[in-house]
Amino acid sequence: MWKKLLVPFGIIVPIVALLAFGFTREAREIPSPIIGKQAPAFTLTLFDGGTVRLEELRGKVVFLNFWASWCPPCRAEARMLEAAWQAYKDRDVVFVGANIQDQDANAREFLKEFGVTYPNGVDRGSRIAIDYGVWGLPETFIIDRNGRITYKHVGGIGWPILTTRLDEALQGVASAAEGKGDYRSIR
Amino acid sequence: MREVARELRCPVCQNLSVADSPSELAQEMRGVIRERLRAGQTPEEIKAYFVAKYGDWILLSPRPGGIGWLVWVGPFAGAAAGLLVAGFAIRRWSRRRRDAAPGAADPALLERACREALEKEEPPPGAMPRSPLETERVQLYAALRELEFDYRAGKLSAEDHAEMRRDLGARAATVLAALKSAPPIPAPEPGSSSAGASAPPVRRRRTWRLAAGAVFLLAFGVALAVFLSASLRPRMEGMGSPTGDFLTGTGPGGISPDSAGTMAQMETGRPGDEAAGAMPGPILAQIQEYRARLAGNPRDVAALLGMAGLNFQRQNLKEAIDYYKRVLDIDPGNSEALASIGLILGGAGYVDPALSAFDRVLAQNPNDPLALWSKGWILYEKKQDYAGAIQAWEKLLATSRLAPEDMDQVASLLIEARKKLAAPAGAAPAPVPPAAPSGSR
Repeated sequence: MWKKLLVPFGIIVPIVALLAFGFTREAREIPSPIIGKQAPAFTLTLFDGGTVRLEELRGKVVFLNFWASWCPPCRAEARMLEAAWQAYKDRDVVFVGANIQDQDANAREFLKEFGVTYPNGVDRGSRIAIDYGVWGLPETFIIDRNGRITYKHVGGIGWPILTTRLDEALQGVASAAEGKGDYRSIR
Repeated sequence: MREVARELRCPVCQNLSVADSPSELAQEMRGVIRERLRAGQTPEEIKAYFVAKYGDWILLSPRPGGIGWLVWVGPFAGAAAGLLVAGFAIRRWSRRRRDAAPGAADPALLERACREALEKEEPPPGAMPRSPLETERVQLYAALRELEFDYRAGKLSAEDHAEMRRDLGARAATVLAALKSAPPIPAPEPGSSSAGASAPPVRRRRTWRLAAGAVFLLAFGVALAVFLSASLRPRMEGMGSPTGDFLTGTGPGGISPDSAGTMAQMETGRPGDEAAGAMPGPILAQIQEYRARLAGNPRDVAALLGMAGLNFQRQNLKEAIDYYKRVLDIDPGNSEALASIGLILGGAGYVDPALSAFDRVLAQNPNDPLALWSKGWILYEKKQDYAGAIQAWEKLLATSRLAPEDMDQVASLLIEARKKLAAPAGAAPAPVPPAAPSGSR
């Protein structure tokens, strides 16, 4: 009798459990291995012609945001990011925006539309983005004073999370896990 | 380069390698691979680079180690286990078959069975309770008696009789042997509870099995309902199948399935331009952008028209009409909305309202390209009024600057229409729409 139950419960239940596990997982999610690691160095050519080198920002907390003008969640958070920049720019925090998979004119239009004042540049060929393992947009990385990635957020980042994580990074605290908001898969 | 790319998973696709994916990111990743190969890195180093950025996730075949080890060994272990189980099952069946084989029967018992079968007169069935073995013996005896009867009546050949007798006798002998080795409830006392005592365990077991089955089915159903509904995401409105109509090219009558075409036409008021590629991603982004704009300003006519156009192109005609109506609420004379509603109505068979919509547009602007094109198409397709269609299209060609492809299409439609006009109406079979609806723009 127990032998008979062995077949359904010993074989079918594990299979169903496996399927249930698979079905309830977000297939597109890619857990990042780079949180807590040293941030990959980059040099970003800005829209205004200047450049930003990550090494030169040692000693400051860097808020690195990947975006594109065609990405609605990027539009949604643009004003908030600018407000956050205004709130944090005197507290040893630097905001950097990296524009990927976009057209120059559209990107400039975006910056003008939302009155973005922090340094923004084009990441040609998404080389920096790939170096950071970007797969969604917007994607945000917070890098502490020692150049270590303390937080990664895929998708729109809300004000509470942004401020909490920035404050943590200012104190050199790394988050255990990445965060997630509304995002678009990059193209 | 392809070797490395083939082993990496494209982060923005579903089950496509970086080598096979057409996405922009995959192109960029191929660029990274090329650069690193040129810089002298080995394929292993490059793969390690991507793993460091995206994790083991990026590898199409998981590493043989850790959890990946399970994926590598699991299938082989499963196959081996299956073979083992099958082997055991087959052995068990064959053993049972062998037990029942005639050769295994005791010849003395066989003789006794055949003898008894003919001599013994059975009590009528139901007179006394029997164990299953007894019942089987009685049945076999009856079969043996019948066989003898048939043989004597001349219905069977000697060989057949001998063979069947041997067979039945052997089975009866097996039953007799079993009866002898385990005499079940020796004296079937009439009216006693022996029959009742042997039945309950069987019945109880059956009930148990039923209950277990029911519980299992119920759990399965609940699990399915819960997990499936939790894992299904609603499809984006206006995004039917991500490939479906894009691949099959099933657009609305006369409307290009090509999103870029429709969008271009919606924005510039000229028929579709098929040059730009239509990928679902940008369409999705487009929809999101329009949504965002409409959330900010529900009276954003351009966004409303954009949403309508996307819905039209995706065959969500009801939504498309709703959006066009919202445009007309704001701007009652909007030519694009009017002409598009006309096209939808005409396509659905409401020819006269459609034509009056076109005429309203043409009253404002006699050269409106979309209205001229649509009017021609509805006249041609729905009314078989080729002269009217020719007139509208000739005017379109004369007054509007069209993209070369569109010009060609209108011109070829014109030729068709002229041919149909020239052919006697009775002789021509039912009007055949021009080649493909998607190419008819």
